[in-house]
Amino acid sequence: MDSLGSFALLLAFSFCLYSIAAAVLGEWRQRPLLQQSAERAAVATAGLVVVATLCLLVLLFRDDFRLAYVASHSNRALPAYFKFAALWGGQEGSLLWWSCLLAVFSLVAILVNRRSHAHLMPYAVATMMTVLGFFLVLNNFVVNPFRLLAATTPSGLQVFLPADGGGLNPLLQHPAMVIHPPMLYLGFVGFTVPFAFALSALISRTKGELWIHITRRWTMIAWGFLTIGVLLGARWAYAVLGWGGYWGWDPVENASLLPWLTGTAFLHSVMMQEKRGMMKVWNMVLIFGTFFLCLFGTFLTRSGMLSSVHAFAQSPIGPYFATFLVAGLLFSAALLVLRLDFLKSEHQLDSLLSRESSFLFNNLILLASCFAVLWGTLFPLLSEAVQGVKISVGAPYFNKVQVPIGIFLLFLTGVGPLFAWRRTSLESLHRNFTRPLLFGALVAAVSFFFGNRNFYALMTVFLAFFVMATIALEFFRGARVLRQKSGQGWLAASVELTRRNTRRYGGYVVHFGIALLFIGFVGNAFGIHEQAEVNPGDEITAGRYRFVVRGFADQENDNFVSSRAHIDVFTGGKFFTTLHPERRLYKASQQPTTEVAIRPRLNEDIYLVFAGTAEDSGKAVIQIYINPLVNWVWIGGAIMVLGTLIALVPSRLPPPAAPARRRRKAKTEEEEALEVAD
Amino acid sequence: MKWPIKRLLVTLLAAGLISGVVPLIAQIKPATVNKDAFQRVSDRLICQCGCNYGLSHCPHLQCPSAPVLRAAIRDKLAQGLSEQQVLQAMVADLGPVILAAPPAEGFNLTAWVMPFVVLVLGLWLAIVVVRRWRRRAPEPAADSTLVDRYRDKLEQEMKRLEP
Repeated sequence: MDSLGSFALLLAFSFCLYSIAAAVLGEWRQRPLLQQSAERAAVATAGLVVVATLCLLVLLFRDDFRLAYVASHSNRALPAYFKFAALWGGQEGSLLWWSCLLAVFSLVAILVNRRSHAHLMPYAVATMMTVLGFFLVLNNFVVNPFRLLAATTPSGLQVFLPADGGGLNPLLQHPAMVIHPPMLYLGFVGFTVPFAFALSALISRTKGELWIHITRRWTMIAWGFLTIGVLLGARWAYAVLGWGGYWGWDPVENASLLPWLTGTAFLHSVMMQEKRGMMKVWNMVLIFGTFFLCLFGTFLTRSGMLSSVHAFAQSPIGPYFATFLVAGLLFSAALLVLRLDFLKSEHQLDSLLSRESSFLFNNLILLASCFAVLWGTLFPLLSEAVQGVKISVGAPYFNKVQVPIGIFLLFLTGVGPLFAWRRTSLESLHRNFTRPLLFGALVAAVSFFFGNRNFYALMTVFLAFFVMATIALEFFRGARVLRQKSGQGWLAASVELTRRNTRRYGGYVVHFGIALLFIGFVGNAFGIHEQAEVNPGDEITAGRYRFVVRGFADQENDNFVSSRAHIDVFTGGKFFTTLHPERRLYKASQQPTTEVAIRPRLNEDIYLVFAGTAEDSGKAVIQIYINPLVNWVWIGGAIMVLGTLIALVPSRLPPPAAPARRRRKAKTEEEEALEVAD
Repeated sequence: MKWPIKRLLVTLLAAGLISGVVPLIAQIKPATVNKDAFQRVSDRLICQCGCNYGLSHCPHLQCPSAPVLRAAIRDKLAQGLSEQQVLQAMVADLGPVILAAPPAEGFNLTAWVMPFVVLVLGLWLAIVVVRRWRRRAPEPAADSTLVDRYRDKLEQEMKRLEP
């Protein structure tokens, strides 16, 4: 099986190289058969990479410890679903998984577009295969997952077969880890397709917005997966790492956020090109930037340049990534400069108060946020290079810089969609904003009354509810018009409204999710943290809760031994719940971990950590976190994903128009609301 | 009520400035009890085990760094040192790497300033672009009756296609 996997990988690399050469030659010499051959070679490459990935998976399930990868990242007692996760638990496997996803994405992109957009395919195929080729170089020659545990002895090459493996990193043995990396990789890999078609349009001087139409859904899918991946990563950090929070501005977390920010900017600015033929250069820059940031994040976290609690796969692949990144960036930048004349904007800006200018500022803020994250992440390296002094850049820095930027972005989330294309009248602004502004201010005032004295928290509450009110008002106005016309109920009218313009209303749902996400962020300002050394019978008080330690119990299974605390929680003198924070020692890796106990609620989470035993007193160390509003982060994230799914559904055309004389009737305010372009 | 565009823009700009400056002033907190002082000092320091978390949040069991550093802070506070003096002593002992955020002085000042410099430069660039877009020569004037007629027709057809 390992030979089959190795052979499939080598063959895939050969087909990949052929595909690149055939695609470029086919286009250069205008040979359709050669172009077709390139596409078929790419399909074969995809098939072979999938075969190699399946081989590794089978070897993991068979506990074939002759393979260095299986011996290092799995063991016999590992549950089956974690054996599946072991596929991406180490460097070699995760890079093969990356290649597999990229190969499948490329395959689908080729099959979907090869007939309808044949003229863009050769360079798009060449680009996708070049990226895949780079990963196949790593898979075959640098970090091969099928390497055997072997050593050269006087009698020849000897293959070892250990009785058991070292096991999967215990921190990765969590349900979120089974789906988080695939989601994140799908996001990273997904941006290769729009990048490839953008590059192809640029090389072949294809006029118009065709590349954007082709890749709009791909971009949304990639962005959706990246969103899920980032949120699941945060959820994993919250439930597994045991530091009480979900976002610590760790380099790996930042690396996943960078392309999300530029990808979000791209999703918005691309509408400017679709609707108005503007920002053509900028869109190219954004999609190139997003793609290269996906690679840069991988380079940053796997090269060992920066340390991270999320980095589980490091090896000397840094120079390969650096070379590919620099070469790719130089090529893309040179191409962009050479084609500047071809990317001139077709329209002018009619008014400052327009959707166009709001998108411009939205892009500016998203890019500023991206730069701030990148700058903070790299600053320790820069400082060491310039000053020769090591410094740290942690959460306090990022929070201070990002919070004002985030608040401004939230403001734009509210106002942007309500501006019309070209020009917005002040009357329209007044009509759209007065009630939501008043509603936001009212909620902020109530929050102030109940003790919220933090300026940023107040601003966030005000703006989040303002955003939600603007969106609710948009749905209300549209649904009211449909109700009047069709007599449907509110829910049915809202669904019908959404189905008629899924992109616009799906976008609103995403914005609604973002507002809820910010509500969740507000909770960070009011968290409570207590730590105590306790014996059975001891009590701890945190906020309005009283914690009574009942005792500790030892448990054991094939995979780990554990010590489990039994803690009863009381509030207002009444029993509330029992929590069991736990410490584990994984047998195979001899690595200790904490298993956090969480009691999730909509208003606040109770979060307990059994942090260890105090050396001097021998008492158990229990950490208590009361985390307000944290569940709104997950709810907001789920709503963002729902909005993305809605936006991906094709819009349904409205029923045939009414007779001409009825259409001549003067438009009401509500009917105008339906007409604001998406 | 009609608002001139300039007034609206000035209001938005002022709101942005206030949201940036006021909280910086509001964040200055007075020192209170020792436990709070310990928490505040811990929050400004970073664990040295490589976890990138604040000293009071390091999640690592058997962390070689956090317990030692926490004990050092408690000792210094017990000796009667102020929070600032404890921070200075920790930096003197371990270097600026112990601070969770770079001190706003010398080269490290660029860490704080650059994101906002980029933001301002971007804003300036956006204004230049917007002005250029608006300054472009208008297209040759067309017959307004014809334009209105075609616009009406287009709107009707667009309305038929999408809401």
